[in-house]
Amino acid sequence: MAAPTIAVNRLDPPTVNPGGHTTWTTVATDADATTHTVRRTVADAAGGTVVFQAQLTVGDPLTYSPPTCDDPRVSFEVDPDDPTVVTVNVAS
Amino acid sequence: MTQATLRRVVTDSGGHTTVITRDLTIPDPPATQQLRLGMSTEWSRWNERVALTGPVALRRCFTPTWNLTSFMNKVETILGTGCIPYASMKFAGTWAQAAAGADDTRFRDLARALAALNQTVRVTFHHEPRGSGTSTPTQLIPWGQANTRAYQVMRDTADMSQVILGPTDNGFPWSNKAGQNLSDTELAVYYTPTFLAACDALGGDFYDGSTDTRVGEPSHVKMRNFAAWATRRGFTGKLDVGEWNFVDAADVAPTLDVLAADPRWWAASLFNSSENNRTDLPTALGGSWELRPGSDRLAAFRAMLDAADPDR
Repeated sequence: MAAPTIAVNRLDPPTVNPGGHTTWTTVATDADATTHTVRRTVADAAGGTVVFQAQLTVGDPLTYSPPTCDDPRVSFEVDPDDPTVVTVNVAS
Repeated sequence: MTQATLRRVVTDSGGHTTVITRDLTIPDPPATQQLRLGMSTEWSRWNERVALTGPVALRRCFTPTWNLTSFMNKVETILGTGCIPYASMKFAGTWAQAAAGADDTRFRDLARALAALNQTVRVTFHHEPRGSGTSTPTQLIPWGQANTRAYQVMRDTADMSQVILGPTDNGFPWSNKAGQNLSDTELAVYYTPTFLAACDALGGDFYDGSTDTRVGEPSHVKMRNFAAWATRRGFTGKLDVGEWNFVDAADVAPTLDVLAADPRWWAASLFNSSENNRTDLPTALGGSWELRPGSDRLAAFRAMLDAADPDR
């Protein structure tokens, strides 16, 4: 078992004046996830076939902690629909 | 400038964790700064005007066409008197040409000359851009682009840390008067994010606007609106007044109140000259905005200078 892997760690913009805000996107993946190939075959009346195939990743659900910062001017709002997206506010 | 570290932890169902960190840069807010008050006069009558007002900290000067020698001579003359120059110059050609790079060599020459001085100089290109058929926000887009290019080329050429770069717009778009003012949406047509980000300072020339047949509006109304607009746009750089004047001496103290209330205001220059005045000024002014000896207007300006700098 291994720790989650960071896939996206983006701060846009990376500089914020006091009173402004920015967006921090943090996406991680399960390092122990396994990948399986799923298939199904479609056939017509004459016996011709086509195979559909896709990759399915099976991993642990990941939990994102509330973001923190030692600077008291910085506060956060986590997107209620997507815990990977955080609005970072900097007080004036 | 502060580097703040953002931190959060990601955990899987087995309790394995990964810490994600990211540095956030927070620029320092503008420091409270001394307000520099000054004026523009006829170039040859400076000493005569200063004899009436007393010492000032800032002097506005104008170079009406691209002329580096003339520009630098004026700047160096002003620095020699202990004042900060607030210096205007025009682009050599059209705004579109300057925005496309036609003046880049000139901008580099100017940057090197200013850097060699290593003293505070406020530089503005083509102040009060409206006129001669140019008035709409769309028409002013290339003005912003030309200014932006000038600042960028100058900073790429030499150390501009002592040079304050920014435009000086007409002041009436920030009036409360319908027919003169512009909405934030209209201003945003030419004050683009790129333009604003390139500016050390935003300036305006704010006049009363009164004539014998039209009631004006004190300059400080427009100054206050200008600062509020800059705040709405997230501008944290300097604000300044390239020119201003007043009809009623009672409007001077409120003007200082407006300028002193916001630390972004760092400079304001009164237009105190008999040159280039509009012809329909109120008769009581005697034909120009100049402060006349013995007038209550001169006394009010002197009081403003004393209040802003008791040690002058």
